[in-house]
Amino acid sequence: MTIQEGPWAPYQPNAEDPWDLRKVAHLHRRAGFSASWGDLQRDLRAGAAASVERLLNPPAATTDEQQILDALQRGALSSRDSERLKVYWLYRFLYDTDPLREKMTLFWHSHFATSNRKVGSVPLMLAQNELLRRHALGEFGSLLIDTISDGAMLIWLDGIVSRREQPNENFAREFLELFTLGVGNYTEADIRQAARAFTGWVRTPERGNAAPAFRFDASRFDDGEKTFLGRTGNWNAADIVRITLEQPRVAEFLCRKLYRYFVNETGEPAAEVIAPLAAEFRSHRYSLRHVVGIMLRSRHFYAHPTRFARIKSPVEFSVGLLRALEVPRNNVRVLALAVACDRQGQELFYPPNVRGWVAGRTWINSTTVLERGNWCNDVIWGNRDLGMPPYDPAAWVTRHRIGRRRAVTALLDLLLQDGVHADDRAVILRTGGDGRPDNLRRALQLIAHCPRFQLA
Amino acid sequence: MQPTRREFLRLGLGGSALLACGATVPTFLARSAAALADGPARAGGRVLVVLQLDGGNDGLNTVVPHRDDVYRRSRPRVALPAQGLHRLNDDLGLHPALVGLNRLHENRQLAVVQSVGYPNPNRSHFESMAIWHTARLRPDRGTPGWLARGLDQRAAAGGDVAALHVSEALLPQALHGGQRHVPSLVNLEQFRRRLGIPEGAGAAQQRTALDQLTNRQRGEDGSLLQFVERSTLITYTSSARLEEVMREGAAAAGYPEFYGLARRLRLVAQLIKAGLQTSIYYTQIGGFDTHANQLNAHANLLREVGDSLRAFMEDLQRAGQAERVLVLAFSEFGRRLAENGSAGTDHGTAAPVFVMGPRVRPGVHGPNPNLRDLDDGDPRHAIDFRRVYATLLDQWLGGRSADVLGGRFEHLPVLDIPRG
Repeated sequence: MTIQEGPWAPYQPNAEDPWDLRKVAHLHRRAGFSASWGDLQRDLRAGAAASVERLLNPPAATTDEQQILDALQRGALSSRDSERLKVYWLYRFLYDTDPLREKMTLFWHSHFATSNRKVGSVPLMLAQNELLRRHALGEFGSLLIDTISDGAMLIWLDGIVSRREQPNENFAREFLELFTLGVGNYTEADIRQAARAFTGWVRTPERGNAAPAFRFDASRFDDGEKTFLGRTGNWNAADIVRITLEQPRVAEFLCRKLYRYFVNETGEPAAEVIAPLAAEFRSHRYSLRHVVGIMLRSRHFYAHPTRFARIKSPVEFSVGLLRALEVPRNNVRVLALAVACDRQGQELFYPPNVRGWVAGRTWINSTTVLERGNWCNDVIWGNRDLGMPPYDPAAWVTRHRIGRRRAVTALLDLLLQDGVHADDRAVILRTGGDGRPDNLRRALQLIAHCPRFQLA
Repeated sequence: MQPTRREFLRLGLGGSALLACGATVPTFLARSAAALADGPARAGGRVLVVLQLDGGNDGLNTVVPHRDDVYRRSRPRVALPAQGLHRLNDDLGLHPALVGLNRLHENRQLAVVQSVGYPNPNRSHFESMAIWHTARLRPDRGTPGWLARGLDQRAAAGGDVAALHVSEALLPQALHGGQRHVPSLVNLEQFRRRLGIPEGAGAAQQRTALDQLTNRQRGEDGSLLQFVERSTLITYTSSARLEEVMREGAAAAGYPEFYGLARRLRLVAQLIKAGLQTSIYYTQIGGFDTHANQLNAHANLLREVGDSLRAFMEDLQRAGQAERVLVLAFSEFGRRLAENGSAGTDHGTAAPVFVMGPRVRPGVHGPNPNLRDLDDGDPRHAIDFRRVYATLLDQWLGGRSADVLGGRFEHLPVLDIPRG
């Protein structure tokens, strides 16, 4: 059975199961951070295949956009302020033309969870962020190799204090337990041997205010014979990665995580669903673009049970609202957005521990529900203390040439499509039916407070 | 959260909304629905309030071995006279400024655990605090905290947040590194719903419409939607209850408001009284690193601690909530037996820890500090701090301390919890 058959058979639009706004919005919620009305309409017209293709291979950023990103990055670097670092990444979530890449970068940030609380260096955290972005949809093996020598990771998991005489096992343990195989698929001896192979990295002395730098010192590296996962040789780090990737479990481990991230996070996916995906992953050099593409093209992805089967992470929720509503850039207070994400439980560059964010139901408790609601209310009605002006629904209606009286219907389509019960829909329509700005804001507030709006 | 009938009706949430949730409603919600005829919120689960004294509190001048002449000889300027101390027993008295703590002692709500520390004492603030926070003798910045681990033992229920850090300081490592997000807050504004609706026609209608969106429990059993709906319901009722408590704010009288600690503890009391199901509150007070001219500074700090804690316990008592609350006060180390040349003391080792509340076995526990058998000039610890943690985790919070602490530690007889 090829991947074209079985659980990952591609979605083929037809009369019973047409390509519609619900599917387009679902795709954008999952593969990115929600989409504007224009993008939804564009992809509705373009069809399923073209829409997915556009996400996997987007147009390049314009020069202007690139310049803004570079400036923000430089700003973060020179200020040495982690808040500016958050601003830089949030700006990317908001405006980058490659949302799937940013979604995957966020995935890797939780997978290789590294916290600036211990690293204590904006330049190193930025470098790691760029590394994750560069490899986001690439080959997993290349990503692994580069994380071994990544400065932030070296500090975070003590690679920098690991020496031939006394190898530190922290990185080796997490490499096997969290990054590749998962608990129960290697032994303590494997950890010790891998730790030997990861030695050799030293910090070069910094001059003044320069960022920490690292180099490989062969004299600190343990080049002796090692037996790792049943294979014996004078292994180095690259060999450890190679041997690890020979284990079939790696593909399953990662595909399970990717499944929860893109498809469905309620319950454990069946083995019959993961196995073919894992096989594709292995047979295509562990290419992320390949398996993510399979998922995003599949009938399974668009099926009814898959919709609204994830809880939006704080970044998805808070950024998504701004993107969908196309809040003008001048009115977006990215620092307030950063605080909102922090308070909702997802502080970028500061994952709670080496396991990253557990996500799912743990995003929701009475404090975070309040913060999510308050963020929506701040965006819609404004917040003087934060310098956030109220949202202008009239401008949105005008830009998209939607009649005033159709405005609420359009907002429902934009944000929730058919995910609203008929009774609630009736209340929302009545509230904003005359299309006056304050009534549209009330309707918008009701929409944002529908419990389903918390789901992706 | 145990919402009252009044709250349900005001929010347009009839009892039928919850009953319609069906058999799988979490028990406390089901109990609420059945008990809507009742008045005030029923007491919920147990609460541990942790008070961190930052800087190394001088244990020997807090719980004073006033008859021991080694104490007096080692501290010609800094030792406290026996008069003025609040008597704990024949050998020990509380610092004169601890009037508030003495009141707790008189009410049989104070347990003093003496000579608490750990092997190979570390006199670095940062390192010793990390040891207390992680219950590990060699932690690093990434090691999860003891409370974070304790909380991870409980399932995520989407209800009230499990722990709250009430302070402007950075989240302590004790609460860090688990799966749970622990918010820090300094005022109740953070529990307020910023609805943003402009006042005027339709504002009340909009508020009602927002609440009613939550009333409709539409999700199928076990679905994510249902989880979100219920969590939101709990959130809005908690928030509504807090608004009421804030309006009743004047009732929280009796606090020495000029003390920051008193204001923080008053906030904690408000949250407990509002029926929040949060089980851990963590706050701190700094300034205990009294290297020079110790006497005045230390007295002021202890007065703040004693008076604030007394106001806190009395507030809870009046509200009928004291029985479910325990307070643990600790510091990262004590101070040296011998004073230094600046009428102060330097970093020490073992020191007393305080457990307070109606459910303690009151009095002094553990041996008096042995001032003759010293380790590098300071008294040795007699009780490992992890025994205190084990006692609280197992007996008070219903956890499995061995998993949290990385080993079994024998309990201390500091609690008096009735069966049933």
